[in-house]
Amino acid sequence: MEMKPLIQLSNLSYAYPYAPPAIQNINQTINAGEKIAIVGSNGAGKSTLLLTLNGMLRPVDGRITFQGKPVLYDKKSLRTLRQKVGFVFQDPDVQIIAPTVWQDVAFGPVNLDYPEEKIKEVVQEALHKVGLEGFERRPPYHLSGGEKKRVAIAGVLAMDPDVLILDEPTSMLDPAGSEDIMDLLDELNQHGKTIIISTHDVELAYPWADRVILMENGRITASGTPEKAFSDRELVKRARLKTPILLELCQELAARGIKNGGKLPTTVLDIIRIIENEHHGNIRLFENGYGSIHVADVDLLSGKKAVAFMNDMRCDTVGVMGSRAKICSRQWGITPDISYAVIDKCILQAMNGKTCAIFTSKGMVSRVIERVNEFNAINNRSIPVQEISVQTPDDQ
Amino acid sequence: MFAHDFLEEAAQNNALLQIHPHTKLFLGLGTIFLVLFAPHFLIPFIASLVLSITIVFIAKINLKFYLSLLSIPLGFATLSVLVVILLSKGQEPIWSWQVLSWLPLSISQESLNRGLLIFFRIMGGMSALFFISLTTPMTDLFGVMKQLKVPDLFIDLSMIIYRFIFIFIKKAHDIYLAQQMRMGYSKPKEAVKSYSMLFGSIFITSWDAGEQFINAMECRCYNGKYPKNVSYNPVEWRSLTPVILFLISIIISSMLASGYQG
Amino acid sequence: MHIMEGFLPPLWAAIWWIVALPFVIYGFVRLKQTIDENKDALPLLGICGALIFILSALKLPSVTGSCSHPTGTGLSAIVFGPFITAIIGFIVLLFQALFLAHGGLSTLGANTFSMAICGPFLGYYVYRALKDTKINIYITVFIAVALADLFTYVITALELALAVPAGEVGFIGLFITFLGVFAVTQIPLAILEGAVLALVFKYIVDIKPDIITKMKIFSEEQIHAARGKIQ
Repeated sequence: MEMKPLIQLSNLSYAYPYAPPAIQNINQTINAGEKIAIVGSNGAGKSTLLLTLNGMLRPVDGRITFQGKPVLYDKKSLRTLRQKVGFVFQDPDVQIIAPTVWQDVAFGPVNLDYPEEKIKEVVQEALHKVGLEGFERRPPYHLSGGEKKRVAIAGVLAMDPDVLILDEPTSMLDPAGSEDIMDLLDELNQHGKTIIISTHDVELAYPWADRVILMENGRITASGTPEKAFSDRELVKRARLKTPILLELCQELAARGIKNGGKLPTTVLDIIRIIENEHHGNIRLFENGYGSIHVADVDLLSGKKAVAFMNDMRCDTVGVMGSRAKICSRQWGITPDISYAVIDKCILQAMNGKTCAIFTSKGMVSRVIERVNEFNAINNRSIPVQEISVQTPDDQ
Repeated sequence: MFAHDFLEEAAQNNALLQIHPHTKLFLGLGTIFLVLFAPHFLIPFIASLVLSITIVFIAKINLKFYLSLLSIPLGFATLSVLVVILLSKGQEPIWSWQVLSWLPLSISQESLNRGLLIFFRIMGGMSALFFISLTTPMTDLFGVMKQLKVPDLFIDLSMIIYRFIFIFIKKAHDIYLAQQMRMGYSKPKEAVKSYSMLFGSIFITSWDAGEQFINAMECRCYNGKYPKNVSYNPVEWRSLTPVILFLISIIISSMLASGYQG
Repeated sequence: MHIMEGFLPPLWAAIWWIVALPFVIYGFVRLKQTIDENKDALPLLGICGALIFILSALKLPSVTGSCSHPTGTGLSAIVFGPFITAIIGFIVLLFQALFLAHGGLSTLGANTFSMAICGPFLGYYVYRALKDTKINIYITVFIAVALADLFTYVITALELALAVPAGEVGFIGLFITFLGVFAVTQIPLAILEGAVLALVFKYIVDIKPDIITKMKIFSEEQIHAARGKIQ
């Protein structure tokens, strides 16, 4: 990916009135298209840092540039900045302003003076992206935590920002809800949005982020790939965090002489790969070699066809990727086994001799095939992957 | 006391949700208006019956819940109507009693009729009010207000109030439970104190909520505007026709009844 | 105390609407001026409206049965003055009618006049009169709120009595009877609401007094004096 600096922070400090500095001496460059997790304990200064990024807090010292230009704090510049840098609060109840979902998502566009037709269009599209079509007239207190979060995200997406900032996006969600939101963030990132989240959940940040920024007492103590940022145990401990379990496992394996092959693991798949390499190939070999992965574009399928296909192929595992596919699978009555980190988990299943079906939307199909083939090439495997043919005979 | 007791909560799930709000308001407001002019108590009584049946069987509102709602106006209606029957004007008393020198009680045919009429007017009017509250969510009413050219500021303020009612009521509920767990409402004196603390702490949280709310609006480029949604399913004759017939029958029966009496 | 839907005959329902509307409209004009000066005032006013609603939705722990709900408008009168209270009170009464079935639509004019106009006006001027005297701020709040409630109840009784042609007893007798019938619930309620709001003020003074000084409800010295006395 081409690294284009989007936000540059130099020597940034902020202090709340009558309080010691909440953040100080922050130097950091955020590139377009990155997925960044700012990780730190409570009170480390994560939220403060995030709030300076869209001009909600004005730094007492230092400089912020956005797209190469210094951030200005007059009314007009701030509006432009906030349109481009969308902010999703931790508590959706704080953010959701209007009495219905539609009205809330339309809040930004209306205040940006979009013409009426465009408002309808962008709201529709934002709701589509987060998978909340059909929720337009619902009042927010009728929604689940995850749905409220989606409304908050849609409200920001409707302004078409370049950057999406989310303060503790999963802190109020159950595990399934968290996975859905992280999957959504991946999808948005695929569509070109730069995404910055803050969290103290290391297990969440570690496999998800392109880059992790560790914070402690208002300062940045490490910044780099998740493997690198978390590898200094002392630093992690001082920041009142813990080492991600996968990394710890790998470190323990290394201490017992099992090499990681040059790449620290970020997923369960990576760990399995390390262990299998130690065994010089698959631990178990199946008669037919591997299982297989079948990908389908939900927009080219019908519920009947999808179910028929799954029965024909005797699929063991169903993965659903992206909000559009999730809506379809719900309508078709298909319960997914996997709804987050779908590709890696399906590769794992296939390595274990299982047949997997992945339902996703247009554009993502090729990504699945690429990712599996890439895995095959690097690890010298031959897991078959193919798109489900649309011409499946449909006997009505 | 808390959100689930609100009629709004039921309205969001009622079976008539998809009917155009104009149709529903026409029925509700029309009945409220016409019932006021009814000369005989049977008219509001029947109107009340018809609307109650509509609420329970067509809008599918839980019967027990609806009956508990009907009991809300009952206290007021009974007391005030008793005063009307015993103290209002009438020609020939059927029964009378001088309780105190200034307080002569008497019941006449007229005062009895008047009392009954007011009692059923209250029940008829309340059923119509319930019909509006239970079938037309406030969120739809905001759209109707917009169509009626109510000033934006008025609607905006109403919408903010609406939004915060549900946030605060949830907070109030949590605090209330926490207080109960610690025996907060066990004695009357304790109860007054607990209640004050509950409200005081909501007041303080609301202060913070206000600041956060302003922040959230700023973050989303607030410029003094609030979106309003005015898209509904079309008005259908299928639902409008019975409404019109019902209202016309109230008018005709009112005219007949006053002709009969006059 | 709310007059329920349907009690007032058409003529009186209309009269009270006509009486109440000028206050509500003038309140709206004042509200608009406030917002034009500072658009951040809108959420605060909205939140205050929600608070009044919550206050009126909670059943007071009392012996008087389920009908006794506080009016809540006394608080708003003290905080925002009587005119803005008229418009906020009007909206809150509309929500009370629709969400809680307290009051009604044809009777909204009458209820607005008694609960959002008369009571708050009296409460506000009592508060203004007592504010700068030596009287303890909690007692000031108690008296202002309780009197606002009592006045509301008197006006409601008046509205009820006017709506019915009096018999032998005469109009005054009818009015007194209505007062008497509802006294059982309304007088304890007024005292209770006064006490509760005084305690609420004490709670806020103890925990976050800057709200009260910021809103210019009482001065810092007054709060200081009140805190000293209690501790």
